[in-house]
Amino acid sequence: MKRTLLLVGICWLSTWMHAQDNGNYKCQDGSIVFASSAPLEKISAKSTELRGIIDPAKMTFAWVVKINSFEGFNSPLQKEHFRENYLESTKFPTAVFQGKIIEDVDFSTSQKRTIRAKGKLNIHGVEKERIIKVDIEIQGNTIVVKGNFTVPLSDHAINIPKIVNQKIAEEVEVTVSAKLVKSN
Amino acid sequence: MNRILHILWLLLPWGIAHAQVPAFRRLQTEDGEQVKAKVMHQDHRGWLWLGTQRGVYRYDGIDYEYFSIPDSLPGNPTVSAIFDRGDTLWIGFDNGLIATLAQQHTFANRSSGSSQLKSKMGAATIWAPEEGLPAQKITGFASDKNGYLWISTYGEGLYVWTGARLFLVNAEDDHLCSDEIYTMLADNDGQVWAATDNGISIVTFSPGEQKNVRNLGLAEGLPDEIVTALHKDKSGNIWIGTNDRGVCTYDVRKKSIVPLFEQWTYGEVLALVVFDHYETWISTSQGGLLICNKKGQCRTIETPAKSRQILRDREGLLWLLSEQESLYSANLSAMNLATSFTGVQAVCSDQNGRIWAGNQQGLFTQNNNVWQPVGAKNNVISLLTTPDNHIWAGTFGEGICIYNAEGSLQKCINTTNGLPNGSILSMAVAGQKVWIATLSGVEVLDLATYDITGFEQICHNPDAAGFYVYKIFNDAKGRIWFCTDGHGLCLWDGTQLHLWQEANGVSFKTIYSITEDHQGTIWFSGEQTSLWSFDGQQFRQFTARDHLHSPQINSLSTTGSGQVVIAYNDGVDLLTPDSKHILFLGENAGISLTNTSLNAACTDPFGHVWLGTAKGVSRVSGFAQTYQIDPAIQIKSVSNVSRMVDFYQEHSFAYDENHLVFEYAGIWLTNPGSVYFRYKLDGFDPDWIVSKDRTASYPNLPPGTYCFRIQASEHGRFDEVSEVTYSFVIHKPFWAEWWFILLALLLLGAAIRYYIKQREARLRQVQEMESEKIVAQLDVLKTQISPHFLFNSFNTLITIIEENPTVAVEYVQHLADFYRSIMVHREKNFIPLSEELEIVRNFGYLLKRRFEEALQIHVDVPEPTGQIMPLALQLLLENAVKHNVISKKHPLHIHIYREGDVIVIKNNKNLKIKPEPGTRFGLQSLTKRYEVLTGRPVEIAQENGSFAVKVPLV
Repeated sequence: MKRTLLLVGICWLSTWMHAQDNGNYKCQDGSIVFASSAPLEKISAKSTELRGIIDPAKMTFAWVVKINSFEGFNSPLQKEHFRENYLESTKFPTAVFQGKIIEDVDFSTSQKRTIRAKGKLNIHGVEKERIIKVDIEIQGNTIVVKGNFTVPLSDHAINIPKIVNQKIAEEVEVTVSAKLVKSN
Repeated sequence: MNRILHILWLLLPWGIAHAQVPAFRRLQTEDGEQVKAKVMHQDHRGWLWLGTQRGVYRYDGIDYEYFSIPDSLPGNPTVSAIFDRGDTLWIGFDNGLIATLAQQHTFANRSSGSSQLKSKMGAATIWAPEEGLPAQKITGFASDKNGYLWISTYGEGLYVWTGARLFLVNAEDDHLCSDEIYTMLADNDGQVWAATDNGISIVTFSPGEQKNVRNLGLAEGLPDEIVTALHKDKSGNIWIGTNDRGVCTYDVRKKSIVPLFEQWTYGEVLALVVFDHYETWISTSQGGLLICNKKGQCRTIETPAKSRQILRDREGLLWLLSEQESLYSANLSAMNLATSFTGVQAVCSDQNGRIWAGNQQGLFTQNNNVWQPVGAKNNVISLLTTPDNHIWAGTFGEGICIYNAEGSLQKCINTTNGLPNGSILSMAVAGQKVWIATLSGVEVLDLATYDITGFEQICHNPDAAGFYVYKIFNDAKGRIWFCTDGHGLCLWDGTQLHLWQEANGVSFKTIYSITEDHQGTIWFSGEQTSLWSFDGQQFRQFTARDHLHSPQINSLSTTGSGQVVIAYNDGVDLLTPDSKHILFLGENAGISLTNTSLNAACTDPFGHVWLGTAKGVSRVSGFAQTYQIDPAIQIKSVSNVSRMVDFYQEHSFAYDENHLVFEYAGIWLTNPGSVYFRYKLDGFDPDWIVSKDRTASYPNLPPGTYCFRIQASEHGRFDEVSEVTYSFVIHKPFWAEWWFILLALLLLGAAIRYYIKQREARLRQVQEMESEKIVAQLDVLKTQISPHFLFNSFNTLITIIEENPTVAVEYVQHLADFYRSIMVHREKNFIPLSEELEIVRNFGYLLKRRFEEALQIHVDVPEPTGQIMPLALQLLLENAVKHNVISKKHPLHIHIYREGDVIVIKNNKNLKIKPEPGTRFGLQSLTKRYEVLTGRPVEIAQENGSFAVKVPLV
């Protein structure tokens, strides 16, 4: 069921992103970094294929990133484990966050502020409601979004074998940075 | 006619009049500065917290301590909600910010403790969850049974903080009634109630992050969808205040809404609080402050200002926060009812709780705040409510007038129809009989027939002339008690009359008042007899020692909660029979209750006691027992040598941290000035110290284990008060610790032992030396005096004497010199090198004479300075001669020369085949003595056929 929802969400997102409309802000090349600082090993990986869209009229948004687009890691084996064993990217190829902005934001005026978004974060096929705080800077037709948040692995049923869990923190620090441009 | 009057009575408009008046006090500092606050909150420790624009104040009845908001707060936010959970105070602001104040930080950074609004105590810290803070006004906090903290906002809905993560419950996603929440509370089931313009949302959040929202609206029976106030009563029911339709309750057991008012004309409910189950105080926009009973009957309370927030504190005080941000408190234990008449001589309550009062002008009763005269203008001096809810008014000289509850006269009983005397001092009803005390004795009236018979046991007493009964009282067992004038206390148990005139050696002749508590103990008082209790066995007198306010008692009565109300001219005592705790309610406690009348007292069906006074009627609240009757004792700070101590964590101090100052508060908002403290430092103070000081100082505490115990009492009795303690240890200085002393002793022991060992060794060495020396000397002597030597010498001498007598003389001279040197020097440790060389020369001369050319001694010491052991060189010389073959073919060459600070004696080695029988003691002894005395070794070098000994010079 959840998977179906997810697929629907992605489809909706992709159609939405490809539709030629209407004052939405889109991002094609945001970056997302996750970092795990366990006692034994620090791991970080980055993807520059973060895609996102903000609908200023409805104050809704959606962000998606392909799990397999993450690069970095300390070894190719680690990357392989990350994709196949932990996040099962063949089964759950994407991570999605979609929802609504809590604050009232006037996107037509240039400003710098902190906003919070309430939405559903779907990683590894498990959906969790989250409030995520980001800094945004609106300048003309662009919005720059920067923020960071933590993802507890247990929230998303990401099971790390006992032998490895000294190397992977129970909470992963995620940093996003994206630039959205208004489409006309 | 009566009927017409009755109808007229009913038609009278029930207007709103200023009626019940608790004495409101405005909160101000000692300097008269007015305390302003936006919100108020009493925490579980008893502190009253006041939120202002500048931060929060903590009030303990005397001091206002200020905790600032963080300087870094953006904008100029105002505190809009305060909540305490555990030891953390949560502070919400009108711009969505949230700050926390940990109780253990409340003592930090304090500057002064005076009753000023300026003294800054510490600062709150901004709460910073990862999810960020709301951007809208915080309207409330609540804590559910899962331990989650709920935060309501005006504009964003509800937030839930699980301790790790913040979740949002809002209208759009979660079907909350509205995101604009006025107020919030958690019910006893752990559900959170949020009041909005669109009804009430009842929300739960499960540990599995499952939200559950259930809404109450018009469809569910809510009288008005705009809900402005919520309150949870003692039994867990929720009281709901609305915008336009007053108040209703939600019965948690029946899960249904129970309307309380059919009509509501007071406007919006701003705030409400329920005292006990039935008395609701409601602040309204148009009707001011109302007090309503559970039947929905309301009275208006005169207040100084319209209030936004109402609070009931742990002592039962009512706190109002006005729209002008002024803070008022009122002690609801007693309040006056404004009346149109004065000089009340008798009061009673009918079965509906309506109060009837009599004075010289007649009888009055009250309905919806308006007092109405009832019946004729007789001088009413006693009142009685009978089981059929009729009011019997006993008059002075005019007998008894009986009215029904509506106020219409039913019957009159006077001297014309059987009453021997028309002045009725007191009446009591027991079963079907009314007991009537008249100025001529006691009569018994049968309610069925209205037949009156004299109570013979009293009225036909031969001494009955002037025998008055001030009060007739029927107890729970149906027995009748008489308070007589001059004859003590009488009891009629149905068959027999008992009389007491003294107890415990104290006489009580004239008794005025009597009551019975819920345990069946009789309490009575009279002229100059103070208060007595009688449990059927024992009499006990209560006096000032028991904290009775005064021996001049005007009336006794018992509240519904079982407290005995003792009325005086300047207030009342509330006596709790179980604990014998007596609380005086007078002017200092914010009570204005003066000049109560003799025996003008009754208890209404709600349990309140009503007293007639010179000014009118006053009420003593009947539910005081549900509140705290002792101050909340708290340690405010502990300082040690002028350093603030974290007394939550820190319990051990160094030996020089021994000047402790404790600051404490006894939070007693009813009458802060009346608080006494009793403290004792276990381990130091032998006894308790009772004082009104709010600090205790202990300079120069010796090392030890201590426990500071502090208690507070509102009246100086400490029988059952709670206690706060702070245990601590002052350590001994390290040099006084047992381990250090032990270590030091051990070290000392070891040192002494070492010293003794050393000394012993040295002594032994010296001894050894001495014996060595003696042995050496002996050895030398033995050698020199050995027959061999002498024999050789004499042989040599014989040959010389004949050949050359002159040389012989010389020889003998040398021999003599040699022996003299031995005698002179053998006792000394060292002799100059020149002397030793002299000995060597003498000895050499003797040897030379014997061995002729076969022995060559070469002495080459140009500067004979320094010291040497006596006979050392002689010994070595002798050894060389002794151990080597000396012949013309193999001459022995002995060289004595100096090498720095050693003398070397060296000879070519030509050892005898058969070694000379010698002890070899000579060289060994020399070496050893040198080592001991100089620490420098005698070196022996054998090489290439030569033998050399190096003797150090000193």
